[in-house]
Amino acid sequence: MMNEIKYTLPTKIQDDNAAFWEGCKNQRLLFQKCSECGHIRYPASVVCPECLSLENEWVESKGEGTVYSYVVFRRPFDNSTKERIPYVVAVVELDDGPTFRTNIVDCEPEQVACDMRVSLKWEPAVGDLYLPMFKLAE
Amino acid sequence: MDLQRLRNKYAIAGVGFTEQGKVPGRTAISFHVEACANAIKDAGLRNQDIDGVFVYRHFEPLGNDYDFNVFNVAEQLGIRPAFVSQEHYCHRTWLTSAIGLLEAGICNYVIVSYGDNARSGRRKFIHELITETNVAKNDGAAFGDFSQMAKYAMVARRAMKEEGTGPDVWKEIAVAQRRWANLTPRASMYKKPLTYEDYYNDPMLIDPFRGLDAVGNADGGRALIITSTERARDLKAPLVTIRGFAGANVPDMAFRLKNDDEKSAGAVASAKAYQMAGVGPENIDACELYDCFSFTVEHTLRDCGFFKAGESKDWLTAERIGPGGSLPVNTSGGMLSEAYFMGMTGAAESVMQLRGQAGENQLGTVPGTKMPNLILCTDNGAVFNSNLTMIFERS
Repeated sequence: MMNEIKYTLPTKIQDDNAAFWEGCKNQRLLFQKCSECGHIRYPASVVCPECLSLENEWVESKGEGTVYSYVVFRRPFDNSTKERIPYVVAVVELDDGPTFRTNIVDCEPEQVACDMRVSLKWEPAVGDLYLPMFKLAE
Repeated sequence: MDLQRLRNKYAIAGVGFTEQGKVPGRTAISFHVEACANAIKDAGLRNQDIDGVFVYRHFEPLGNDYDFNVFNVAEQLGIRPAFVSQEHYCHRTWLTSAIGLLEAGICNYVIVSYGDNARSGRRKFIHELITETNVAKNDGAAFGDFSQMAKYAMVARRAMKEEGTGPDVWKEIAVAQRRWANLTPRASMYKKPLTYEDYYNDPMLIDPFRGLDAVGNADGGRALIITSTERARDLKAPLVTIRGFAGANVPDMAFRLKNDDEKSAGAVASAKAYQMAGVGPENIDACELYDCFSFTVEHTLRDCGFFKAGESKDWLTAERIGPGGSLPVNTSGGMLSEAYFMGMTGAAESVMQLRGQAGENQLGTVPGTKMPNLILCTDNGAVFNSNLTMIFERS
């Protein structure tokens, strides 16, 4: 089956977060881990907000987590999301990483609740990009 | 730091209003300079007395407007101030900065000005994170996460889980503030009543928020003049002093904010403001709170200690915070129902109420209310990221 590309928004990739989006192209959810104190951070930055170290490496998350909170877009706020209404934007607390803002897909919005377990699902997006979204855990 | 030495040392000496609501055919800067001119006249000052100018949160120009800057405002006011500032982002530090300038002796009269032609220019408040060319410009856009409304709604959803709040509570805020607006001729929603049924019939935009949970736009401006109490005593307007104030900034991106964070900007700033003022929530006669969304009022009242987490569904009723209630909140209708001039809406209303010059919605005149001595006012920026709490006192 051909992948249906539903996610067409261009994302502005800048120098600080380029590695994150490069990871998304390869379906790897990457975050910066501080080489000195071990803190895993998001959003991307050249400096660790815990210890101010400039040294870091990109590490891959397993993509398991819990819904902290979510909202349901019932009206499109951009032409690119018209077809997706209603859709869920959620904040997921990753087991092995930072809090991450994403979408919950493959379910009705009414099925989503705070504190539900979710797992990573890569969704094809514009160009060669995939977006790290989440689905309700089995 | 102990700021009690600054208690009542500074005052609001002038308030400037403009035509407001829907006022087509006006530039944004025209509202700034009209509001400033009226504040200077209200204080009984000359324009040259103003030596500090803050242009409050400034937006992109609309329609055929040129963009403008604080120099343009100062030029049109005919002044050459020692200090100028123009705020492009949502931090709420104008009063902290102004008092620093006054305390250091760098300025004597600081004016803070807001102006926009947002309603006639159709500014999209809820589109704030999209550029004018409608191209997404941040990581959130890839996930369809647009608007400040979604960010506040995210905090609100978690509060529903943890504190049992929700639309049943928020309708009380929307209805109470509308009742105040119905007493306030300048309010956008004057003579436009709102029922609980109207609220529930309003469709969800970003669930759990409805359109009626969010501010609309207004044309108009508002300005305040801050000076020492000593100087203000010699001026025209009845004296309203700043008994306590504090700012706090929690710059974490919205998706990292936690609903139960005890170090939230509102909790930190209000605790410091109470300490400086030597009062607590039990001493406050009325509140003028930043209300970009109905839930912002609930969150702020909780942060300011008026009730504890989990109590809002019993505490927060239109009877309590509306006209005739024991704690009047947003007595002009607030931004939700009067006009969206950000922190200037509530600060100006606080001063007019304490002067006894509010008009038809004056506390002490509205049945079941009393003349206030202390009003707690908050300004709030970004998504609960910046809070300025002010406790104003009638002398």
